[in-house]
Amino acid sequence: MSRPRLILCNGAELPKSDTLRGERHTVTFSTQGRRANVHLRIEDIVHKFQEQLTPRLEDLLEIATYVYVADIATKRSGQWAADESLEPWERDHRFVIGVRDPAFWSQSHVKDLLAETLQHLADDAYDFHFQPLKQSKSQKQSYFQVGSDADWPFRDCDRVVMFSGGLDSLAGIAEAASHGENLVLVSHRPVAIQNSRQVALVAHLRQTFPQVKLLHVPVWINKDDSLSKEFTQRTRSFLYSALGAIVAASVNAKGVRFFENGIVSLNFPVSGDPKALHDFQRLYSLVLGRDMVVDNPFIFLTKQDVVELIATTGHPSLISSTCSCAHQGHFQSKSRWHCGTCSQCIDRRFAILAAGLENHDAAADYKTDVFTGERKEGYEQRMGIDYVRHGVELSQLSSEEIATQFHALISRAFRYCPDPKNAPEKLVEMHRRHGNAVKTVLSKALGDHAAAIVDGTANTKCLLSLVATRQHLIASWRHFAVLVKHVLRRGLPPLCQKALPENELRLQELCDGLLKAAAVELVREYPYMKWGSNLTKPDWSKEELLLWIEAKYVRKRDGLGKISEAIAADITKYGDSQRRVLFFVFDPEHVIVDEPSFIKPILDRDGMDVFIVR
Amino acid sequence: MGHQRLGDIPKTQKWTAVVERLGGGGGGTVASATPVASVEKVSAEILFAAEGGLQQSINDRGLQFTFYLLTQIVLTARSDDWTAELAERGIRLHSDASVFDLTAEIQRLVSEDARTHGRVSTISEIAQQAACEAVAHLTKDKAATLFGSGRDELQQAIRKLSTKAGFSDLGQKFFGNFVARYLDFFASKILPGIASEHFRLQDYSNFRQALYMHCHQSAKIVHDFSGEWYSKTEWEKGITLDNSRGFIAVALEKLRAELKKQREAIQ
Repeated sequence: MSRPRLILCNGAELPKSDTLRGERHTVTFSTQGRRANVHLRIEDIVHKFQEQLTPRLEDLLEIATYVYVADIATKRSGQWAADESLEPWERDHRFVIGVRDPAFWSQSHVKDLLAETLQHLADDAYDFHFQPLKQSKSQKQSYFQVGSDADWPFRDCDRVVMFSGGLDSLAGIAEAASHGENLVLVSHRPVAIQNSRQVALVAHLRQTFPQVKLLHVPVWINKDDSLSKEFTQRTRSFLYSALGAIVAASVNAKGVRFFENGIVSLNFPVSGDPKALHDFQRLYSLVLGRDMVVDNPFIFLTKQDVVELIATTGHPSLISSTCSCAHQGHFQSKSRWHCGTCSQCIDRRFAILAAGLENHDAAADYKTDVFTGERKEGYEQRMGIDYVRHGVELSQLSSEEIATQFHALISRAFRYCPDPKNAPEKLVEMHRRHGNAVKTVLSKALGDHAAAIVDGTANTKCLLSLVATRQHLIASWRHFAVLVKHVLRRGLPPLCQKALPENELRLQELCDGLLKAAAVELVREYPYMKWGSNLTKPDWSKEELLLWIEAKYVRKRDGLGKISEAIAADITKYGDSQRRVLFFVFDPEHVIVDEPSFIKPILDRDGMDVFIVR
Repeated sequence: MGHQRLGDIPKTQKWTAVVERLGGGGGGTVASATPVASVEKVSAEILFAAEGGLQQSINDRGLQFTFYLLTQIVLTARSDDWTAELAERGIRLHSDASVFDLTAEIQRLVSEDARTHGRVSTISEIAQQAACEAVAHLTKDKAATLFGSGRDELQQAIRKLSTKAGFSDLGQKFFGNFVARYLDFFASKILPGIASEHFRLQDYSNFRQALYMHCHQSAKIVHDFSGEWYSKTEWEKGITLDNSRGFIAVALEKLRAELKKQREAIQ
């Protein structure tokens, strides 16, 4: 795992001999001064509400920011342990932070809750220590008071809404707005392009719901580029929710509301799974000294459900102003908003097609078409395959099977959901709906592109090609070769367990018996072929497939060289005779040490195959 | 499902060779034989490469504590006051608790223990998932339903696991699930990346089902051993976290050796 970190923030200092240092690698973060490497514009909030934040809220925002920056600045890497079989995933962060309200933050139950919350989110170890803030601040400190204007439309609102600019938050906002609710929308702005899209969507919402008042509070938080090392960003939801809590405090709202569909919330949480939201609620209630609710009313909805909700508001055109891509600002495109390869893009496209709303989500907006675009090996292919596999498998399982196989996931979440008694069942049914939607959309996409798949013109690395078997494009002889391999692999080792065949002829006899017993139709030692001045014949043949099969027996006493020469000669002879050849190599004494090197020259030849049995 | 860990398999010689052997060579691809033959080879290849992690998992506090909790839950189910007995062990179940409540409590306690003794490890996560699935699987046939049963029905179902035979089933299920999920952890990083004309989505899905079945069948090697250990240890000295550690070490070694034997048989 990566070396444990000691993270000094806001000018916090520790003597070199302090035991808190241990053997940890020290990093320093600051939002102030010449060495500022974290950029946080509290004035975004201050400006909106024309009052300062309380010291404790300012501390909360900075703590959340530093936690987030430490998360993305510390790569989950290092040597895999235990002979390369234990992934270096977990990290160990010890924070020492200068704060304005050290008496509050240093309480053990506050520190414990903070650590517990983050450990659940990030699977890392957290340890917090707080010191009085030494850095001077330019603003004069004064406590915030809610504006005295009783008619201010956002005073005492029920919830502030976390607004990402994606489909889920749009659905929640559109539904609330369609019921006439005034709304405070809070956004985190890490990159300029995301901000501009959010601003455009808010303008679109205001245009669509002119009778409703929308207050948008975007907050800039970013860091020096040199600090971007880890992409998992599990603590982002902590920063996001802290922003929400601070704005909720500013408008005296009862709480913070996330809108995130249940499939993502349980499996790939961006906003935080149900337990995380519960932990945020406990933490912010402590911080604010009053009850603060943090919830997600979409926990039982699939993404298709969410998209259909947008349609029920009567304004599906809003969809085209949303952006779901995880790579916003990281891929160059003037006109396209979606990369098409990340899980968020895939999920978006599937949901929109499942809801029948593709008119509001142009395929051309995706840099890589989700179904027919080429996916690079590694992350892109894995993401596509895993998404589809997960959905298709879910569609094939009964409710009981889902409840059993994914029991740990559901049991971890259900007690923090609304209606906990019925939550397990609802979560299971949600997953089935999701699986059915994925399968339905995939089936239709395969149908729409059937011609390209049939004639082999579909990109071999697109999602549809990765899904479709393409068996019809595989030569029949290869199918037959699979059968022969299976019979000999299964049958020969137990047959030779007590005594090895004396020679290659005996080996052939044994194999012949196995193949006949498995009703594999082959002709022994036929046909004869003239090559040069010699006649030669294969050990077995299936002439209707132009396939010959050659058995080779590798013994220590004979050496590998002899077999390699024989195979090379056969390749030449049989290749010239327009035959495909399957070489079967019996190597019970493990003479072949470097298997890849041995088989490569054979597999490089068109129409040749080889397998080794031991 | 669950928080994905998106890291790649290390690009070292060892793992590159595994990928090559699985991805297409004379040894065959995942789909180049029937699923049973393929899964034996794949699981054997991965186990061979990942043996170090499995051996080290014996020392994982999360795995040990999870298994220990299982023993305590089934043992206490014999008592007349299961609620009190569970409460002594930190497990809180209300009167209409379902099996989900029980497994939620297992996970809560394991997380709390991890915070005290370190942090939640990958092995601990796998162990919790294995335990939850084992409990859910074995109680669903015995409880009225996975959804909506009360604590009394739950106790009756768990009590059936408290016999020697019942704990044998639980041991086999737990260790089979554990090793399957451990191997799947690597398989999920390797298999989607194998670009072969023989390997497609349904092959991968079939493989995963076959993997679980294969590991469960292989775990039969610890079936009787689990019940014998449970019965004997509880009778002689009581089951503790310490002696659970010793049992886990032997059980995992038995299962590892069984899978290794299968690997040698197919080579």
